[in-house]
Amino acid sequence: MFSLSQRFQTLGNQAITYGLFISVFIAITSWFQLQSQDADLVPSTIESIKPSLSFRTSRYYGSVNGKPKENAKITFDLETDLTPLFTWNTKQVFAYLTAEYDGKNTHNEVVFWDKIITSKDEAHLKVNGAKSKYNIWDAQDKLSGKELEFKLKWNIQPYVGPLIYGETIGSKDVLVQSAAADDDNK
Amino acid sequence: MNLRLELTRFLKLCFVLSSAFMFWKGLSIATNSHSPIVVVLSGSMEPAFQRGDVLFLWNRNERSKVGDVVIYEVQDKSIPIVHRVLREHHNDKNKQLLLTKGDNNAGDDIPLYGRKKIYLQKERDIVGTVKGYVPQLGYVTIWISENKYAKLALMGFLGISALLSNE
Amino acid sequence: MSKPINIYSIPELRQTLDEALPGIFSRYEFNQSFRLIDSQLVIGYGIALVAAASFLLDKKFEFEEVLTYQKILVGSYMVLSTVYWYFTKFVQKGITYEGVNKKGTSIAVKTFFENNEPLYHITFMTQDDFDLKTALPVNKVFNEHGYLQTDLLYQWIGQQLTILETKKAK
Repeated sequence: MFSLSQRFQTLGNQAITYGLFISVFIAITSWFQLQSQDADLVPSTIESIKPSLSFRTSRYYGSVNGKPKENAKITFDLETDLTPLFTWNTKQVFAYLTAEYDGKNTHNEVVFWDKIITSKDEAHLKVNGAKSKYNIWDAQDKLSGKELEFKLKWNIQPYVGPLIYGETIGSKDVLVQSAAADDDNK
Repeated sequence: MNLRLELTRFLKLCFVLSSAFMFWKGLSIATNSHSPIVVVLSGSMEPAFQRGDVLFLWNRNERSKVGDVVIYEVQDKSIPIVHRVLREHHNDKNKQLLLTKGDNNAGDDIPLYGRKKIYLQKERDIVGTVKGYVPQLGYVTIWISENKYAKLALMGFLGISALLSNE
Repeated sequence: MSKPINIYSIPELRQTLDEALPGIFSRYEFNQSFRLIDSQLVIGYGIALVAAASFLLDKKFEFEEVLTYQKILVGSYMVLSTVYWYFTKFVQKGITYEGVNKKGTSIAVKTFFENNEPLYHITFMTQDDFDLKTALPVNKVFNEHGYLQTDLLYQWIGQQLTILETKKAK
């Protein structure tokens, strides 16, 4: 009945329409699944955070013109169960431990540690005395003397649809103590 | 009279091309991003994004959040990079500074920024924030742009079907 | 009409038949009026020009530099497209031919296909609001090789014009 290109066009249009319909269906149902699993109410406990400071002179550690830059690392305990974040549309959960603080220029937020979780079996996190993955420094100033508010946040990467963000309930405030008094300045 | 006929036929072709382009342009104005839909080219965000995945961007937000996956372009390098924001600060002029990293990379992106920069600026460098995701659909475009036989095959198919349908 | 077409393709049938009409009406001494088609072309090419301008700006400049112009262009593209849509839907209303003969009788012809049936629906409209709705099975005017038999179409149109005349006389 139809020419070759018409057949392809019809086929293509139908594939797009059905694909769109299925994607929207998956995205919507997985959102409802998240709500029913109370994904926004996942508790977490962050404990025994111990910062340690060092000075670095490399650009890759925030140093400008070779001036020593104060870098912070931490050790911490963390326990949470992120199983409720897994729906039939969850490809991975990116969990990240952030610290928010007020610095010289308004708001700052930094990630000390993160983890990619690709299946429900790994979703129960329990770490003791874990080391932070990153060396953290303040953009203008230094971290010592600042009060950091730690939280565990998450991002759900779907198989198809929108990226979903949220945070666990529970936070921990920690004041970063200056290192030994003699290397406090400069 | 025949001129009008030819003009009408040519107009149809113009409409096909212009509607596709103007849809793209309209979308880029609505999202405030010069490329509102991008195809992932590298594996630095695996397993979240693989090569060929299609990302939908939004760039009307004034500030990025930590954890956001953003597309940025460093000055002088025209390759857009898809990575995650791991730190945000503000400079003296209250511009937002960002540090990014690929989930699958060991270290952060400072070596990529070049020119002794250690932060991106939200307003200047960010092309958009990833809001939506469709897997693998963009692989066709990678395949076509990187494989000359695929390009020829596509051209051939288009040509033949144009000849056959004679419209 | 020397080119054979695929007579199972409705778009091809429609195009071939629509394009044959002006020639046939001129044999019945109608002068084609280009009012509608010219307006359509002007709006249509206006749209194409806007799109071409936008495309050129996009090639030559950075996104940020020409954002304001692009907003204006996309805006006018949408306005013009709406006008074009309105024009084809409510002014042109599927009229494919308009003409006037020496006696001052004007005629407008609407054509369409329905449900993928090989039936060429055709409505003749005169200024006195006499409408003649009829349909032509396409196998009457196309031979098995896909050639349009212009003479057969000519005769068929002639019959319809006669019917229209007698209807008017009543």
